[in-house]
Amino acid sequence: MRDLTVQLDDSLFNAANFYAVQHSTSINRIIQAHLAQLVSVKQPETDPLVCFSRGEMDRLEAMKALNIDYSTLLDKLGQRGLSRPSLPHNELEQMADMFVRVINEAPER
Amino acid sequence: MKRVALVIPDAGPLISLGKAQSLEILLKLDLPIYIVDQVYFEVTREPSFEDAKIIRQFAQSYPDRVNIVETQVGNLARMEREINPSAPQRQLGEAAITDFLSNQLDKIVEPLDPVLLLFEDSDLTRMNVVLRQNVHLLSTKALLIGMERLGVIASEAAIWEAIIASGRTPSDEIVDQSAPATYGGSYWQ
Repeated sequence: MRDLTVQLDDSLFNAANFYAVQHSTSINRIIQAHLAQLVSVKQPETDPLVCFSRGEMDRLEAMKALNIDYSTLLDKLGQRGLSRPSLPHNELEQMADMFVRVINEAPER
Repeated sequence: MKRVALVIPDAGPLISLGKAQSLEILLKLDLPIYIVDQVYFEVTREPSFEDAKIIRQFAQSYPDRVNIVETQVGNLARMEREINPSAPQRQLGEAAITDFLSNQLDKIVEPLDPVLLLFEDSDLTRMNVVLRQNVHLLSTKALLIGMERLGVIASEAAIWEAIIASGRTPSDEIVDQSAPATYGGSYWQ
């Protein structure tokens, strides 16, 4: 990883910084993403929100990386239009089947 | 009421269902609901937060159905807060869950009665635990799917979407495409 110093107008820096805060990212990540797109280089995903959404980072890791609580993490996922992590379809089906069976077979108190 | 215990040892489902204004759907299952004390404290400790208000109101509105179960970890944490209100108490929720499963579960259910442990989907993707035969892990999403199959809610998708939508800004600006579903695998017995 190389360090790079970039000079920006104050107004551009302020606007970019505002955008970054609003979208739970950083100017560094925005520049990396745009440069990678420009030169068609695939970057490993480092955005904690995206990693959490893809199931590559667990909840506590994402909360720690972004220094936010779980409620705010869910808010930011929604604001970015990112999916909530979910179990694979077959595992969800098995779990839902088990749940329905337990409820249907349970005796009354 | 059915002889099945719904135990919520995780803040995630409370926060998610609270955000969707859907905690009351849990009452439709006609089961006793148990929330681990330290988890309840963690999700309600900021009284000005909307989620905290909703969850507290839910627990207080249905005291005959929603039980806050005491754990040794929760009691110790409470005593520590009384001595030092600013004491950092990170990760105690997880310790309380372990305490509850190891030492308290038998006090609230008969040995063979089924127990459903409700966790957030994101946590179950990496959870690797061994549980007794009558104790079952259940994710928030699987709970909703099952409730739709049981006919107690009209649409799991509507509630799932409400959870997601609760986090959107009024402008609903979308800057990323939806990510694919998680395929990290999970393991339970």
